[in-house]
Amino acid sequence: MFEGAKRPTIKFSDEQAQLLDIAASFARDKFPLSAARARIAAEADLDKEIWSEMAALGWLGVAIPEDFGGSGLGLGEAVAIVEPLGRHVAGTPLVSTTLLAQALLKAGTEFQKRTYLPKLAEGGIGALALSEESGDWNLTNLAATATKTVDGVALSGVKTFVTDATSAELMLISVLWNGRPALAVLDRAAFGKGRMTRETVIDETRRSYRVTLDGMVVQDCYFLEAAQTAAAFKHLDEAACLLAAAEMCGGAAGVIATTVEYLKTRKQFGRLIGSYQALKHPMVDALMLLDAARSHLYFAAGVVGEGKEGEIAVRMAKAAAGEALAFAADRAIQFHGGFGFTYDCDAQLYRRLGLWGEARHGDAAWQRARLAELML
Amino acid sequence: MSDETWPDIREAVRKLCANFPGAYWREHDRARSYPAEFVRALGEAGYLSILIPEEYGGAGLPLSAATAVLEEIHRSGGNGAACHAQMYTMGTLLKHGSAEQKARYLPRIARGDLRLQAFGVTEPGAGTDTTRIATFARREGNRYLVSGQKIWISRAEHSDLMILLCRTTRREDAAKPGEGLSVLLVDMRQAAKQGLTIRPIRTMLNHATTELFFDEVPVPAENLIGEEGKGFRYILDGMNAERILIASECIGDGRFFIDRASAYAASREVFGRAIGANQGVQFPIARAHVQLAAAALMVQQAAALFAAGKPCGSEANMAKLLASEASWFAADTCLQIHGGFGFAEEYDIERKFRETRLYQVAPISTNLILSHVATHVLGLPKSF
Repeated sequence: MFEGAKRPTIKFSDEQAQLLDIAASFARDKFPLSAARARIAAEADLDKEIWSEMAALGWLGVAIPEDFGGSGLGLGEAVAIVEPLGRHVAGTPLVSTTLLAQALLKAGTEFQKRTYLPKLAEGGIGALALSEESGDWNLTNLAATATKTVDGVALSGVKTFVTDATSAELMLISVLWNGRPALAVLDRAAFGKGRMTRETVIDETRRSYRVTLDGMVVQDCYFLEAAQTAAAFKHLDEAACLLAAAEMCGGAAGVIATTVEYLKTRKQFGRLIGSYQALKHPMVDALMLLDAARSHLYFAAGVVGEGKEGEIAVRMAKAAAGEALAFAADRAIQFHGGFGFTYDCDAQLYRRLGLWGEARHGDAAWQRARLAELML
Repeated sequence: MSDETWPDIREAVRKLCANFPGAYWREHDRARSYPAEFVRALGEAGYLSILIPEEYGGAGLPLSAATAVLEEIHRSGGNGAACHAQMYTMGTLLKHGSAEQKARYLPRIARGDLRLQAFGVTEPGAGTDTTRIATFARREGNRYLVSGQKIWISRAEHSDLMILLCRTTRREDAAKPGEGLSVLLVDMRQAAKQGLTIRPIRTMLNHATTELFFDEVPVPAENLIGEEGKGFRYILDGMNAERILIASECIGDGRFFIDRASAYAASREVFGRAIGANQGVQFPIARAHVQLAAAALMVQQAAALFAAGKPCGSEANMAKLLASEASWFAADTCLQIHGGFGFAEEYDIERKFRETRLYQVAPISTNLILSHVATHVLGLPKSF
């Protein structure tokens, strides 16, 4: 199926590798773990200055064509940026912003693309209001509705896990319209902050909100092309899995580094604990899981969007990344001993990142169930 | 009685097994032959009739005594599979046979004159879904005519009698799927002359298992055990005893592997010190011991319930699952730490490794046990 020059590999292209280097050094400078802890404590959604720098580097439009103000690269390149951000628990709205742009590219009207894509590339934050309280990991299982009235389109329902909602310029919402799943992009003018309630979520670095749609009336020009909507949902799901896998691979790398550092400094019985095989060997296991997950990720980065093969690749990548991070972070907690169970130990930041990543867009077991349907 | 560990029996079995060292088992393994000398010695010493009541000439001991015997055989490096069924197959006859049948067969089974160690249940078209067996016994005058096929029937060539489960009413004609099944006591020598074909199946271990083909094989009606059509219930007890005893063999296997692994790890030196000084070596052996110890307690509990005549289906299943996984982990650990020597026949480890692997599949597979626990213990919906 993948013949000739387009054959994807489990390695990054030179361009992706270069981007990964730049992003890794940027994330190291701008997002020490103390910044993650400061973000948990602070009220502000994110550091606007760093976000502007990311926009200036062209990262916010990395997967947006040049015609629409982006860098004209793709999701594969977004992976190279998201992975190091995950490693440093950066928690920026980069993923939601990128995904919103993907939905527009797939199903936006010409007007929506011209208006919104450049805005996103320049630094406008995109938020995703796709999840619901009684919903599941199938993005089209929806309870929220849109109904045509004389004044426009009346919305009702509640959306959950809308990260960075209060600072977003644009919000992508999913609703049932005439019984069919539909997507709309609302701009800041259309939704007020009064509709948003902060949620306490497992990954405390996330600014997550519950958004009430009841009583909102919007114009139907906000809705994406109906004919392309099904394709957009599918693409959103796959792109979300890909970027979540990237973030979790980064998380696994980060927690392994954190733990290895501890094993090399902490002494017991007169020896560095890292010299004990019972601790040293599992760290190698963790590294091997990460390496396997990265291979899946980089392969998926090359084939995402390419039909069934692409979907298989992203689901494998997400399952592998989730399990790699879960194992590494769990061992990290164990190997830090009593300190590992404290709030001060950074291991918990990564364990929470992993739980969040697993709970969004399907955990490893769910991905495997989908894979069974796709492959068997 | 439940906490009886039978130290005297264990000691005696260890002594007996010392006469059958690794070389003995390797020889039979290589030739794929039946360890007749060992089985004879065990029978003569009275261990195979250990569960038969004293009034019929057995020792009349509870199931835990039989678990002690089998555990020690396996711990010594031997294998009880060649004869363990002689211990429990008679249970169906003992519990559900008529006074006349018991008086006729049990004393001879206890003396070892008659071998009753074949249990004919499984069929190619019905693995664990026992009520779907199709082997049919048609009543004609004072006899049944049996036709059908059985598979994975161990020791059929080394047994004088077989407990056979067959249909006497077709499943579709029975009131319930579990009804219309009957148990017949088949005289294997007679049957072999009258339409029974036994075909051995070669496996990855030396296990005398076979395929049976019945073509209008006559069985006297007096050989029906219990009531016609109620046979499914009769064999369930036998299955519980089988699972508990096989679990005890796994415990013995596990101890064999742990004994060997510990001894080797303590004496073998690499990089100037015993390999057992490495956590990567000693921790898996320790883990194997911990897992095996837990499984052994479950086996004890299941055996105690069985001896007390209490329901023990779930416990027997759980004991078999835990013991077979514990012995397998011990086997894998032992093989791994022996390096290349683990693969050399003279160490007996590769042979025991092949032997203990069987028990995650037979007499019932791990998945079916999980299914039993899920539905019967936890009340979850049936998954198939």
